Amino acid sequence: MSGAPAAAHPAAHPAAHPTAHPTAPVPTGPAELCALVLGADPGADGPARAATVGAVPVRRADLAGPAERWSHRLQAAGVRPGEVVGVPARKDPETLAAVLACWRLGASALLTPTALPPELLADVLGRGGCRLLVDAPAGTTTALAPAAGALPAPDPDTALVLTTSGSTGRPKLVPLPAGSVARFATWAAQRFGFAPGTRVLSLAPLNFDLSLLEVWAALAAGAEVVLADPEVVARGRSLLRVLQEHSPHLVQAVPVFLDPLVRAAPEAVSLPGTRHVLLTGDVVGSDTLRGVLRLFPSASVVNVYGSTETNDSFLHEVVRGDATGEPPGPHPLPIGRPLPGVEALLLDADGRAVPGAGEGELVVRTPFQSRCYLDPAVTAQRFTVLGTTIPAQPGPGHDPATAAGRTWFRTGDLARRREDGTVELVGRLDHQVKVRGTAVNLAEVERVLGTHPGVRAAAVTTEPCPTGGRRLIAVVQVAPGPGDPAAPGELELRRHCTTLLHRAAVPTRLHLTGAPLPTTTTGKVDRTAALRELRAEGTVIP
Amino acid sequence: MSETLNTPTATREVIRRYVATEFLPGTDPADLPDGTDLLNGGVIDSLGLLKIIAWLETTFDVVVEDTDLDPENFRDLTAMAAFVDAARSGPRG
Repeated sequence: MSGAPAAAHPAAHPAAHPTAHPTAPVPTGPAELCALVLGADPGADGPARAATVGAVPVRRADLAGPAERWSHRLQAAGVRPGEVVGVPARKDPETLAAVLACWRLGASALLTPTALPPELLADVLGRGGCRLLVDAPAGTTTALAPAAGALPAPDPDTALVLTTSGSTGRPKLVPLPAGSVARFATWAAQRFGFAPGTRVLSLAPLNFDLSLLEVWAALAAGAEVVLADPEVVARGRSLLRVLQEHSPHLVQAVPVFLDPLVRAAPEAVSLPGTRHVLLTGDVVGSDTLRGVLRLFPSASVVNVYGSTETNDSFLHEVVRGDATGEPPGPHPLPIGRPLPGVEALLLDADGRAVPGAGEGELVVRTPFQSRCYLDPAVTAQRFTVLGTTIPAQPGPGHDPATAAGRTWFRTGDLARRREDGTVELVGRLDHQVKVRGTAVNLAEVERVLGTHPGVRAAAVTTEPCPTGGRRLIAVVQVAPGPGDPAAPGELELRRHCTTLLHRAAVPTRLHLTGAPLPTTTTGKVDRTAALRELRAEGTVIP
Repeated sequence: MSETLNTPTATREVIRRYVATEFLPGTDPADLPDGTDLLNGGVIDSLGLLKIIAWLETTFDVVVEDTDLDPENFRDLTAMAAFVDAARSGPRG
């Protein structure tokens, strides 16, 4: 299987983690990160450009004053170093200022998704140990009652606490050290040429790890961030208008934004001012990729891979087709090679590192990563110390001496390494899927559906969405049967789901049945067979 | 068609049928109450919202401007019907 020279091996980055700017020390805590983002003289950049419908430009110069005011408010509310403060992840300058103020006081910000139902929000804030919830538009804070289920406090150098999908129906909390954020900001600024005068479009919700690049790395480099309103830019023609009005130098987007944009953009329209387009979060369709290359004729287009726990770890540069109109590169796009300082292994079914070309679970260690989940019981499922739980195996580009005793992250992604060292994704090892760029665990949705008293069993899977990507489809066995007044209807089940699940995890299609769902030999609901039966009935798109 | 659509009640009934057919197949439109929160109730997600906005523009010959892309305008059947009727009688025609 092997034979790939060490130099071409994706894991061949044995160099130590890159430091931040060569002359600047890596921030050791949130207060230093705040100083890094705001810069030495943040007031010197002059007035910001005007906001337009759905897009608010902001630079660190605009945040210095608001961050100062938020520092006073949070200090008055008793925020202490090491504390976790709840901050709803709104896309506005006041929210950014509140996060910076948390950092200045040595605290971290738990960015709560805006679409989280109230029960889940309370659960997340309670487990995060938050005493305080920021209301950015009102300029106030709300005191929270102490919760019984608070997890151990994160390390004192934590800057952000992000959330990610789990199998239990409760989001996992991911603490990110200030140094990880700073190292990532340094890489991003160097790789994409962030500097004062650069404009970066921010499409992702603030609680997504994508915001590390779009917002925090850009601000720290003195660039201008164009904060997009997700309600507006979800529409292709509206996003096109925002792109034309603000002409960002960098655009990072998941396919859910790119598909409608490409469809809405007339053939004659192009955006030559954009120098970098980052595709991320999900598989990009070939039509969308062609459209992106046409719409952004001057841009370097890259496919970026990462996860909330590690941030970006792999990058693949898309090679533009020649004049013959040859479609660009292989499809689906590979994730390419590890970023500088990132180490990657493929572990086979026995937990041994695959030395050269081959397949295995992608396990990474990045300079930008979290060390653990907030919940120690969950940490053990994904974070692993190589050399103790994983039998290390010598191979090109993999030195067990340096790998042992350090924390690696099991991505759950099954990947293939080609002979030339390029890595591509081939599937998942668990029940996680991507729906509109958001990770959703199928088992979690099934579990939540099953907690309704009128539900006997549920099978959740995905099917292609006519407008691109994939969507969730659920087959639900209700008692006594669909249409029976005693059985829950679709409206009731949807209401039930929205109180217990993130919005991306609510199935697009819910099919109710009175018949028992097919099961596997071990007695578990057979998702594939359940969907196959629906297709046989002609109920869903084959 | 525009004659039958030209009252708030008629507008709402057309929207009710569309929402039931597109987003709740198998559900009788009559079982979908006017005030049901379609966004927080998990019936219409962000992509569904765009789909329904495009449908409203075509069906009722109205233009939904970017400044109108406020979820409150599309939260339930009553809000959508009010939005459409206001857009039709407003300066945009």
